[in-house]
Amino acid sequence: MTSQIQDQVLWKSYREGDKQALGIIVERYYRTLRRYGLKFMIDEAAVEDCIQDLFLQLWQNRLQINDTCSVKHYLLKSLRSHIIQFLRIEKHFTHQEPDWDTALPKEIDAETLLIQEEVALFQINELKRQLDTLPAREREALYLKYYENLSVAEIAETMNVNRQSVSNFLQKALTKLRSRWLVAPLYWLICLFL
Amino acid sequence: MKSFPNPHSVTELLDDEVFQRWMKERRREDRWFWEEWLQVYPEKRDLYEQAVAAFLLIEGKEDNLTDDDVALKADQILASIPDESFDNIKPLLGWTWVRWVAAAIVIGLATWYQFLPKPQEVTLTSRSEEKALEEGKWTLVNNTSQQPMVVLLPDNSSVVLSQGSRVRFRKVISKTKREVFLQGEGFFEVAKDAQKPFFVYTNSLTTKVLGTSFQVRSFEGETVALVKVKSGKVAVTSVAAPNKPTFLTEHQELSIVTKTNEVIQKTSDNVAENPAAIVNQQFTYEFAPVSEIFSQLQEAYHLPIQYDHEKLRSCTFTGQLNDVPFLEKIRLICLTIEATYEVVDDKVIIHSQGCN
Repeated sequence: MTSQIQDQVLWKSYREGDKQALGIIVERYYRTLRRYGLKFMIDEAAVEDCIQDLFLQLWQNRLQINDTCSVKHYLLKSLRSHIIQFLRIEKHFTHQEPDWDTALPKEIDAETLLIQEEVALFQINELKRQLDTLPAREREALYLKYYENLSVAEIAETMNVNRQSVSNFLQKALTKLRSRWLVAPLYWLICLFL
Repeated sequence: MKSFPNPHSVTELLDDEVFQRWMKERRREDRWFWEEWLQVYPEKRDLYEQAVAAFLLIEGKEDNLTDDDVALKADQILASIPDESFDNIKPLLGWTWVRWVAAAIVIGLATWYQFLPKPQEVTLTSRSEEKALEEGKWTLVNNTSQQPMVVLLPDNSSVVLSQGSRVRFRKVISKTKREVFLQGEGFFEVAKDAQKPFFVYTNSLTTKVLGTSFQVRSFEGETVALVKVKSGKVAVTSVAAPNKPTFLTEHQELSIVTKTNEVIQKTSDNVAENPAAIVNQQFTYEFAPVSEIFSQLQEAYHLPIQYDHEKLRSCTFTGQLNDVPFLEKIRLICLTIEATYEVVDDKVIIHSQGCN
């Protein structure tokens, strides 16, 4: 992928002390990082502070930082550790795992997405009920896999667990969601006949 | 002929990179592609709809940042990164410099009044800082005088900034933390606020506190960076190992050899070496005349305190003011002697009706 090559070039320039290169990396991944950060149910200002800290540290540590095959993965992983540290210190957070937001989009542009709005809404609500019963780390693994397209190995490194655990998280989560996928077409059929 | 993905399950479709890109970016050409795909595989419509629903669910709440918002955030982050070289600081090496500081403080006692630098006389050295300052978000104070100066921070904490040193801080404190960027040496007295930790960033180490007093020293060109705690507890992390904090408490100090990142932790014992340094001074009083306390504070913070000697003649103060910032010390004394104070043009004016 071309953007991948550019990432590597930017990363190298930044490590050699090019502040502008870091600026482009910030711009490219700000949305990705903010979206991920907000999932941990902390307020916007705190997420933005964590992102700022992350880049400040990247700059200060640039001589010690290695090459990376995925800049995105590196940034997501670092942001997560900044957020965990924030939760520990500021929120006196002692649980083993942080929270994970499951709030839905406010509007679904069914026409653009080539789906039937009614069916889609029904499916989403059915699925959400399942998602809400999943532990936060299973939801997070799903997000990193299907939204951020990270590999199982990358997810393991990001979430600080072993690969087998990530595979288990994904499998359990998908089994639950799958049970709903089978229900939805029935609803659609019922609608047709009514 | 185009190659179409031919998934057999929802997860297979969710895994598909082309599908993910379509859902995330919703480009027009991708829409055409999937329209065609649905015509080629009409039997997979259910599967497609299920995958879309699952994706929307996993994606969650929409993000309403515009490109301009993102560009602005990126600018702000770049502006907050300290610059590499401060060209107006001459590197001075090792312990000779410490003796020089002590000497400067002694010389300073005689001449502090005339040379008090105004915080407004700020020297700008770099573009990004100029930009940040233009936006009016940061204050930069550069001590180019020959003696330490006190800098009052917006949260009521204070820094005694050594000569040749500079600090930069936000004019309006952020909701979650207080941050100061230091180049050189400063003695910090931090106002207590457990909700907003206080960070001091330097090129080689970061110090984090909740409310205490301590000294940080990290000059460009010096081989050792130092943090020395007078009271309370702080966490120090070296830039090389940001996830391994070292905790320091009262009378402990930590130095980092910047080249090798070697960390040395010890109990500070050099009180005798440099008794004039504020980090070594005690502010504990028992029925002490307030005028004496004011003169000690004037000398320690290099900030004149103006008051009516006659009226304060019989005022005394008992208590300890060791781990509170400069203005808090003044406030506590005023509270005891039923006086008020104001800060005008780099001096503190005490208004009192006297004590009986």
